[in-house]
Amino acid sequence: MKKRGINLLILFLIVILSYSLVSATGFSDLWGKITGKATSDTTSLNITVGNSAPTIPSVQAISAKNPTDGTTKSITFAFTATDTDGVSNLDDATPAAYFSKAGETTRYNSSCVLIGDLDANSANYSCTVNMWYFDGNGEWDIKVNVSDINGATGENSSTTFTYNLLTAMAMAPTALTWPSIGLSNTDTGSDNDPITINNTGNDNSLTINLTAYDLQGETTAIEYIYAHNFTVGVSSEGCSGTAMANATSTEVGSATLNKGNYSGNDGSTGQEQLYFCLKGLPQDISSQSYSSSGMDPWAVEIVT
Amino acid sequence: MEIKNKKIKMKLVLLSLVILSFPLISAAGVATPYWDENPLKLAPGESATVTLSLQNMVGEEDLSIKAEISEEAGDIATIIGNNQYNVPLGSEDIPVKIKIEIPKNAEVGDSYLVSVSFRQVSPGEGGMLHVASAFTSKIPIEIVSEEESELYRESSDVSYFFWILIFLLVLVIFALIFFWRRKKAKKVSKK
Repeated sequence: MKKRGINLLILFLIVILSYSLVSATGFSDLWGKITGKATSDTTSLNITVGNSAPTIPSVQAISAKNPTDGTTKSITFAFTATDTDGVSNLDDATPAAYFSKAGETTRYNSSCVLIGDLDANSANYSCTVNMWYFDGNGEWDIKVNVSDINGATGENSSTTFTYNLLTAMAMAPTALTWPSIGLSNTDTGSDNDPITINNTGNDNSLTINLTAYDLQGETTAIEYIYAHNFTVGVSSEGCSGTAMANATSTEVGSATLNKGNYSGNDGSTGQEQLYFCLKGLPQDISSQSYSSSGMDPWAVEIVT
Repeated sequence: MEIKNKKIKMKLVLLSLVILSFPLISAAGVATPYWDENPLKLAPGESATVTLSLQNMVGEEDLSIKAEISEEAGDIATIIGNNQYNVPLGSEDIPVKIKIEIPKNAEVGDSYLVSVSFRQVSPGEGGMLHVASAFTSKIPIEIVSEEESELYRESSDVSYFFWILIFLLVLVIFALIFFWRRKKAKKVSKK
């Protein structure tokens, strides 16, 4: 049995050796030489090597984020991309991230950066996407993608993050003035209104309440111009607006503050304007300055 | 008649025009993790601390802001610590901690609304009609069963890891016993 195996091995070696010798000495072309027919020719070959698209197996979780009033919030996170054709096959100029939500402008960064290679097939990328103060609160979808050098793209859209609610405002001016007024004057508007209120957050459809206080005489402190002598409205001079009441939060009728980019300064997008009117004066007060300095300031309140 | 008019003119009310001592812009805000579509979910008898974040990024000066909880919500919500906050210009994360305590007799399906009002405290300077900014943050609360509660999720996460730890510990003990017995058996067989 053992002997038979040795014989077979020797036979196999002889066959291999013979084929090598025949090929090396040109005997393989013997048939061509006899018949005159060509035994070799050139031909073009198209070989398609399969390309695997990259995949993105993991995206770093993003915790809930607060918007930053009046400006952008930079959100940075990382993701891992894998290409079975090798990490060098990933095109490091292509990773991108997109945050989207129905009814909102998609925020994105198409210039994410390579943090480093993780192994022979995977690399880590970092993305920073800027969210605006007026971007809607709620759940935002995260999509990341990356391409390889052959143009095949892989993406991951499986994660989300929460963008919180920010109720915020900025208003100017913060002190109102009137021209000199006689007792007989009526319907006198402030000479430095309107107060412009900017919505510097993402809370939408806010109502505006105003808490007014009687203005006290600066010389004779027992004399007042009463809060109910004032009206506040959204159009100049505010004289047909809502009447105020002392120390009472009063909703300014038809005043609404929506979210939006107020930088356009058009008086409506992310803005509301309030006009203040002094309807008339109590007839028994003396000539002096009246102010809120001895009382609380009037409060302009945005109510969610 | 002319004398009366003169009297009226003499009684001319001068409303001060001096405003230069005031900042031109008043700006502030508050961020919250809860809103109508994303309420805080608690079970009857549970309590939780909610953190709101005061911001002052757009203004021109440091602010002092006073917080107050509306009377309707006063029974279940209280502000932890002082209710007046210094909010320096450029800050966006001054925490306001609100303790929420749900009564034991609350029923699943009930809802509460905690309103927290913030008002800029007057710098106390002179002027005619000074206007301060104010804003309100609302925390909607939904009463749910213990399993649906936000606290349950946190505690179940903790217990999940706890049980994994216990399982690994038991596994290690079994392995040690196994090897100890094997070693002992070898010693016996050598003898």
